[in-house]
Amino acid sequence: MPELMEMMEEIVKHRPPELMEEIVEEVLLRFPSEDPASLVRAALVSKRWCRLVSGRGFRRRFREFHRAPPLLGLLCNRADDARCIPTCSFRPPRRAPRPAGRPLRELPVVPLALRTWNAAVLCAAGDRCDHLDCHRDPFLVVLVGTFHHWTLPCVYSSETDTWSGTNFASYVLVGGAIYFKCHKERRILNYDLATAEMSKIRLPKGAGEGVVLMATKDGRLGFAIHGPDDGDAGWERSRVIELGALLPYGAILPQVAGFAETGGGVIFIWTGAGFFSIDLKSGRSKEVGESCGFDRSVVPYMSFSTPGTDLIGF
Amino acid sequence: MAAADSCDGISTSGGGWEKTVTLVSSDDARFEVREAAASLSQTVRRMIRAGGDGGIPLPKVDARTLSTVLEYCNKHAAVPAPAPESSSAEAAAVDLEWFDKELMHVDLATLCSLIRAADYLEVAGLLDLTCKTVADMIKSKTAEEIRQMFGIQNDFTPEEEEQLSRENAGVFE
Repeated sequence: MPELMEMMEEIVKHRPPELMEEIVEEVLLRFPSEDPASLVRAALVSKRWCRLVSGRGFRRRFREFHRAPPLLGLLCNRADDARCIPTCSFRPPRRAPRPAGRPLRELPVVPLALRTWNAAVLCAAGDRCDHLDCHRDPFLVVLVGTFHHWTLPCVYSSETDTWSGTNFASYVLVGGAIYFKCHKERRILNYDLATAEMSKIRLPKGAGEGVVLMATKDGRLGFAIHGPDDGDAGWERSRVIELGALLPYGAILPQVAGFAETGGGVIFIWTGAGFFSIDLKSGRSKEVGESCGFDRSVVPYMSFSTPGTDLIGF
Repeated sequence: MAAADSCDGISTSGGGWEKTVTLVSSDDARFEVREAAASLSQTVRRMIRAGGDGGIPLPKVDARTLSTVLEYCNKHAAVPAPAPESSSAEAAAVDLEWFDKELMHVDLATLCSLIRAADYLEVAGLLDLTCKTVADMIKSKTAEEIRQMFGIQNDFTPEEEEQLSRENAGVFE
């Protein structure tokens, strides 16, 4: 009998530890949001785990826990199409990243023959949404284009499915306004979302091409540029980043390509040797993908990506 | 942490008079703890408010686990709140971080017991620390490796596994 007791004790000692459902949830909440594949692997463990991570409650708690959506990739134009350069385990299933299972939506034709244009997609729900995972309706597309010699904004609303209003490079949302950099000009257009009014801001001399707009830590509009700028009244220099120490030998012709408001802010640099990210908080740089054949500006794709499945109802 | 027989009382630990409470584990071990440390547990805090004699019973936590929980509470309650961004605040934060890291050098079974205890006792800091530690241990593992760690049965059919992978193709190469 003592032998049997010893054997039982030995079995109990080596039995894997049990995890209750609410504890599994607490652990999985702390998985890194910038590695969506880790949650998919967890969903494949068992039906119980799958039901948990695919459920609406977990997805909401995951967004609330991590707050800022992670950077999943960079959208970049090539000669005849656009590609997503992944910066983590996320891989877009089609050419453009979009939430699983939702169809691409075709918008009506813009009512003006625009020569050049730039656009921003925004959640239209305002205070009714936490803006952490707004992939659904209603949404707005604010488009700014040049028509003959005028620069005009057009706003598309998914609720009415029409373009309204009759009036490029990068844009940034700061406070209640969207700022667009005008193509080949030293000007920024400011579109106030509350009043639907536009105004212009001049960039300093020497800041024409290769300018990327950004939001500063204290919620002001800023811009990043490679090389010297002459300074100008109204703009103050906040920081100089020495690229020589951050980029590898051979990373020639660097140019600022994009900005993401994730963490303390990330600047993307195009070079002949690839795209690099520079974390403004830590000052560390990382190669994020090849640059050959790509335009020298990128749009960061930031979103939560949690597993979804039709199997939940099993 | 030595088990003590006394009930609620006054002690001289730490060079001053401090109120203590007695916690009783599921296996009847008694722990005399400073009230400030025990109050990091919201469950214990509520029971202190409710009052009662003969110590606070914690029937879901055994002595071994409770001793580690109290080690955490004693350390975290002992840290005063210096002015933020001062050098002493920074040193205290580094010391706490080192302490937490050392406390988490335990096997998976102990970690899981600590998570259950932190959840039941509602010690938010310890729950976060233990869950983060387990999350870091398993986040890079495959589904099969996770199943083996926790003794979970794979109840998917191959078709269901295939469908799940297909539906979430956005995160696989």
